[in-house]
Amino acid sequence: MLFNSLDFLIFFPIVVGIYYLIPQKIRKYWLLAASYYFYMCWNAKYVVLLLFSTIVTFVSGIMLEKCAAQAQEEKRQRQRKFCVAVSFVLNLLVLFVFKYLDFGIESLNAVLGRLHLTINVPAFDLLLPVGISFYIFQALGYTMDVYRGEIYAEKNFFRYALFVSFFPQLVAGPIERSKNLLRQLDKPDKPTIDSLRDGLLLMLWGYFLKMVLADRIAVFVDTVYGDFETYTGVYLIVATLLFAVQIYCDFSGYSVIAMGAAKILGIHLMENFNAPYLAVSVAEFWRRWHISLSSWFRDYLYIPLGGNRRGRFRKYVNLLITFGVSGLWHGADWSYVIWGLLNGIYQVIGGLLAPVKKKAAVFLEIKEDSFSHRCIRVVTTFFLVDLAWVFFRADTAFHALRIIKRMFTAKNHWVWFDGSLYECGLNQKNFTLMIWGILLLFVVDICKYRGIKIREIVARQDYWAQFLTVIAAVFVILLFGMWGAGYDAANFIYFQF
Amino acid sequence: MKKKAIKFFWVCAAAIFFAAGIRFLTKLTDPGYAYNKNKEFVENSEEYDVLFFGNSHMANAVYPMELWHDHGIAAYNLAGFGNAIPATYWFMENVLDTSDPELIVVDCNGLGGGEKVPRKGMLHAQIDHLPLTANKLRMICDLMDDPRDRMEFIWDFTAYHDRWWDLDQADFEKESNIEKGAQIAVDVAVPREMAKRPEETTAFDSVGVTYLRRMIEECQGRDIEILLTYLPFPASEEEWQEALYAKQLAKEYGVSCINFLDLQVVDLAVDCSDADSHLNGSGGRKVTDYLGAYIEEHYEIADRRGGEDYAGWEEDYRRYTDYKLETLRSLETLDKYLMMLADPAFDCCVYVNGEAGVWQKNEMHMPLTDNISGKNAKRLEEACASGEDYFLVVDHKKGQVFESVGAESLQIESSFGNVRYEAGEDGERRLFLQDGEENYLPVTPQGGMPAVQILVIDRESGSIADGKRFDNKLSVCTE
Repeated sequence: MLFNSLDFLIFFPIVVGIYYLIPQKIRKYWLLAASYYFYMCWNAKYVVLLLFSTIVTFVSGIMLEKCAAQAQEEKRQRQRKFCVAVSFVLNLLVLFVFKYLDFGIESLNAVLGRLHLTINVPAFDLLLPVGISFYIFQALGYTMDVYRGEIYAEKNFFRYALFVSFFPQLVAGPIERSKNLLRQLDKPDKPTIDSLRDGLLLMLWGYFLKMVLADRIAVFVDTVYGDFETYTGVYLIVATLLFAVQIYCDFSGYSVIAMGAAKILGIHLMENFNAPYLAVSVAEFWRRWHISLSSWFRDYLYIPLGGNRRGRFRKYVNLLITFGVSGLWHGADWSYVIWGLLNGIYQVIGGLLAPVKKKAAVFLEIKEDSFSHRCIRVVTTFFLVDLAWVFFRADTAFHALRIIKRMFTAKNHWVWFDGSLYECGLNQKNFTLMIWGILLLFVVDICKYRGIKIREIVARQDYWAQFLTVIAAVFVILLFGMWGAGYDAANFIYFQF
Repeated sequence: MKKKAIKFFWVCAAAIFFAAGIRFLTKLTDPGYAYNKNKEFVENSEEYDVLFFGNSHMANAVYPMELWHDHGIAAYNLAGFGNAIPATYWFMENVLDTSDPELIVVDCNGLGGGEKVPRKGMLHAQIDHLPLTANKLRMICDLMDDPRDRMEFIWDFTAYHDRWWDLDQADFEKESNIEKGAQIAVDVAVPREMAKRPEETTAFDSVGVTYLRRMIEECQGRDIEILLTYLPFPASEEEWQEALYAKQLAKEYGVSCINFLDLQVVDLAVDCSDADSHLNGSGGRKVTDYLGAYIEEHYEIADRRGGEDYAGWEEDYRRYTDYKLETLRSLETLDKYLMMLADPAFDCCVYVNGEAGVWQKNEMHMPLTDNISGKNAKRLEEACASGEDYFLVVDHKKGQVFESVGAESLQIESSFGNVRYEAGEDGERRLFLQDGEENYLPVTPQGGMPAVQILVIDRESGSIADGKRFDNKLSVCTE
């Protein structure tokens, strides 16, 4: 069930309506049932995996706490580590089988082929369970939090099952922390007009990002990337620039709808994006992009690997490992690994060059905190990140390299001016609308960057202005959104992870 | 308390504003195909005695305004392009909610079809304007299996919302169909070969048959006369079977059926707008005339001409004739122009330059010219064979045709005044109307005669309603 589908528009109001009509004590059961129904709409069979992951991590949490009572320190530690290991191994095994097994087999076959060995291991062609990477990581995060003593193990299985399966963030995040979500599921906020309005505004903004911007941009990007041998040079440059916006709108759109839907249910989900393209370095970009995943990797991989506590060299190795794994998390293909590593390499190079840059700035009398200097850094960061996105978007790493080559070698600069860009799936009016939409996004992100909360501004207005804002937003989405007949509700890009 | 009341007031105001906005957007983005086609019917659905149903064959073939003018029949053509018989059945069901016709005419083309809705988009053009009633919901649920498709027909904004970039003046000034639901096709095509008539009628079962039976039974249940037709076109063997089986079904139910494939009402050589299916204006006019006479003879349909309730129809007919003339004026090719002149509303003088090779350039020019005269142009073949100039005057009101070949002059009295055609041996040709001194057949700026000149005469005033001159390439001269 997609957020931008008719099914969800029927499902959600029913869930909310009943949620507020029934006594608070049984609300979590209602939400749990709704969440499982939501998940089963895709593939009912795969609910078994969700349940498996839930049971394993729930039991591991209980066991971890029981082990804590063990008097012998050494034995206690050993048992606790064993519990964590079992939880991780079982969950990652599921993830590996359903997400990486075919990729592993293909890679193995390729290596064997290179060595002229003719053992052909057959692929399994398993259908990737939607959202598996998200809920498994969320569940593993819980195991780690209990292990570290940051939270008590949850004793109520149903509450814990709801934590893993809470439908707004089940299939594409944010990957919530147990500290934040479990407590709220026990005692959600009471609904107020303000929280409902806030939630609704968030959802509308998310729908705008997804349906008006992301899906519109996708038409252009898919046309160009789908035939990159024909659409070369400027076409590819524009498509690559636009893809950066598309993936941002697509994913942050989903996250914002999730936050809005949760807010209407009285639950506050963590912010997943914070104006990432205004970052002045790649490292900062990753603190602002997919925050829930980045912080997960930081807390549960980078820091356990030693983080930056074991010297510069280990720090860089840890960075590369973390980003390589992050790439692999995004997709079972070498192009994702390269994409992840590229982002890691940017940061390693950035770290290595930092002293040189500092000296150069002093020598050239550049004020590092000046607006102009920040602008240059924002643009440079965007360029680097966007270049890496090519590996993310292209079908294969080989294609990505060809695209980058054709981007800079083909000479067709007239395309900027002669209206050819309007022949890539979006006519002039749609293209112009897209540009206006991107400008609006830019303004909103600047406001966010500067701490200006637009929702609070709306909330301060008279009722009529608040209503008018909501109605206008609905009309804009209805009129300019990509939906309805002839439009196959596009999946959110991050569903595949 | 006051605060709550104010909140309640704003919630209500917002709800009203929202609903009004949705309605506005829905109307704005609706391209209005269905609305434009059937607006006249929807607004006055009770005044029609005869309703025509079917698909594009019917829409292109029966002109209610001609039925009105010639027979006083108050009719509306409700045929929808791309309609299959199930959609026609349901449309009829909905239409009968608000109207009470004496006679329903249903074309059985597509009787063998297995799909309820072969083309979804076409159905929009048929039913979008219908109010959302229980009958409409039943229709949508029966015709559409996918809930998403159903939604699209319940609230057509879901199909049209992305037309925002395509909106133009026409979307703000929606026009009604001047032809009372019909559509005169102006193209001319060489027809494909018609299949041989099968010896025997083979009964078959199909979705189309099921729904045609339901239509007949529904009409009989409501005491409405029903007439089945199978309109003429270059039919395939399967289509012949449909026509024959329609006749058999009609017999089974004791209703009439006209199988036009068996009749020589049209001349497919000049009356097709495309190679394998639809009739053009000339063919449609012949079918309309035939059906008008048939209905007048076989059914007790009141002649509404002069009736108080039908005072507006005369004005409608005047608008319709203006519209036909505008259509004629807009035509840029000789074959289409000749085809449209077959309409008895147009008296005309046609000059063809023998040296221009008009007859050879398109083998349809000669039969189309003959068609104007109602196949009374006796000297056309002679002109074609000799390569000499040809001059034709068609006076529909008097039912007369006058011809000249080569250097023969003509002096005639027509219903639109005297016509004098002077043809000298030196090749000079001159044409004078109503004893005036103005030569209506001047030489071209290049000094010669045009390849073809056609003058359409206004019967009442004798003035020129439209005129076209074609050069040797048979392009319209702009001088």
